[in-house]
Amino acid sequence: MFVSAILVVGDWPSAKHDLTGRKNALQPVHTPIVCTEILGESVLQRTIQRLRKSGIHAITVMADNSIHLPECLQEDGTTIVRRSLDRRSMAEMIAQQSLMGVEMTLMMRVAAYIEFDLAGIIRCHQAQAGILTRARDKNGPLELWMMGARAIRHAGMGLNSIAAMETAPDSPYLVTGYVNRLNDAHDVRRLVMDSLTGRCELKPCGTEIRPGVWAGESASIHSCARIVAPAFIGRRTKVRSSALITRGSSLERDCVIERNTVIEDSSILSFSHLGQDLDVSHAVIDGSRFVHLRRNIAVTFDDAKLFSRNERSSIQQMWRTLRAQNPAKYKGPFEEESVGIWTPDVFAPAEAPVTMPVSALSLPRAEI
Amino acid sequence: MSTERLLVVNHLPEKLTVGHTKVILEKLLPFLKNDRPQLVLDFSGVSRLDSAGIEMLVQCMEQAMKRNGDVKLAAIPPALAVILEVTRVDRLFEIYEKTSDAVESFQRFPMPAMQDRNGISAAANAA
Repeated sequence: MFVSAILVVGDWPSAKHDLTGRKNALQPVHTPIVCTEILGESVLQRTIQRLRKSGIHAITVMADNSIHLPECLQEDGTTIVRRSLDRRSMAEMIAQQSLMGVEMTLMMRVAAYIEFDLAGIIRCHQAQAGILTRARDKNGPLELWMMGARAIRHAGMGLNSIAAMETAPDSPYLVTGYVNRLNDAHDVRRLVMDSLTGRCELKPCGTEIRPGVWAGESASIHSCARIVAPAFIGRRTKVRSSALITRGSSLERDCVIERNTVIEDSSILSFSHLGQDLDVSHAVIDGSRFVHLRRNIAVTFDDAKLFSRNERSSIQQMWRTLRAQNPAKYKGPFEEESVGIWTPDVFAPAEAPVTMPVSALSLPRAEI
Repeated sequence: MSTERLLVVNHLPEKLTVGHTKVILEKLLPFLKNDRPQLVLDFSGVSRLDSAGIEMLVQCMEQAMKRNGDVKLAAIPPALAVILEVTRVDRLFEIYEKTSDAVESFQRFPMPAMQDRNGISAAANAA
């Protein structure tokens, strides 16, 4: 059976989600929670891996230009389609699946972390002989549908099927696995804690250097720093002397935690720099943005001595990405002078909407 | 021997950041050089605070402690309370929700406040 998957990332059906709350339409280019690395890998990447393990290789990620997608998606053979997420675009996308001979399509708005059983949802879909099967969990419907060939053809002919997807009355397939809707920073922390304590299948990326302590590649922990399990230190992150990382804290990639700083029950997202002598607890920090979970407040710091974005690391990352794409132009190691290349034109992803012709979607078949 | 002690309530400006703190400190230092100074810093109008502001608070506290005085903070907006918490400064100060509570904490009896030219309201009380 030829099964494909369409993963929609972004503003569908309503508000944009990011760490500071449910609605954030102010940022022109933003990284949704599902594209943010959590314990070394984004939820989007993990969802794609789950689909691949289940046997789906024809995976299309659909997002508009305001979404910053993880760079590694291009490398692992996932088709990325950049276009506005309106009903017409989605209907066209589904129609393309029909033209490729797809018999079933898993449609998912990646806004939550869901541990679903693909074989189970296919069985349920076949058993009820319907055109559309929506998944739900104990808290209500999820944005995960299985579409049969008829639904795929309908979507191609009109927009009603998309509307039907949004309002599908019955949700016969119950996801019994772990579900985290990732609505806000509280959910991010819950996901980290559930992973570190083994309450879900999500595993930290890295080596378990001590029981309950994971460290990514090239992570650097000073001998006088203390890490109390469970904890996660992302790749290339530096923990300076006398720092204390405790109570299920996670430091994502390329972070710097300066001397004497205490991180307790907190998640520090990629490329964050925390100054010395700070006491951070019950928080999620993304560069200079700080969400205090107990006080339920989001604060943006203007002071690089306290919290800031680790700009050098993020520029180095950009350099690595550019070099991977065009080794001839960006040869040699990263140097400070190279910062000059970091202009908006270089930095921004492909601005023009990318519409993939059907012929370009040479997707392999999956046997379920 | 006089036991009179001066209590000052200072309504801080909107920005407590680099470039603004020096002026505030210059205004407060003469008062802090009195014997046993009692200072209440009212944060109700402050919207921005950075490490320079934090440093200014610590300097005020140091000066007050040298002369057996104290500095108390009042009416701190929630966002600034987070900054004081993460920089571990909150534990150095007594913090009150209302300025009046901070004033009362220095002296049980409410004191008539006097306004000076710099927007500092001052009250003399007998200790």
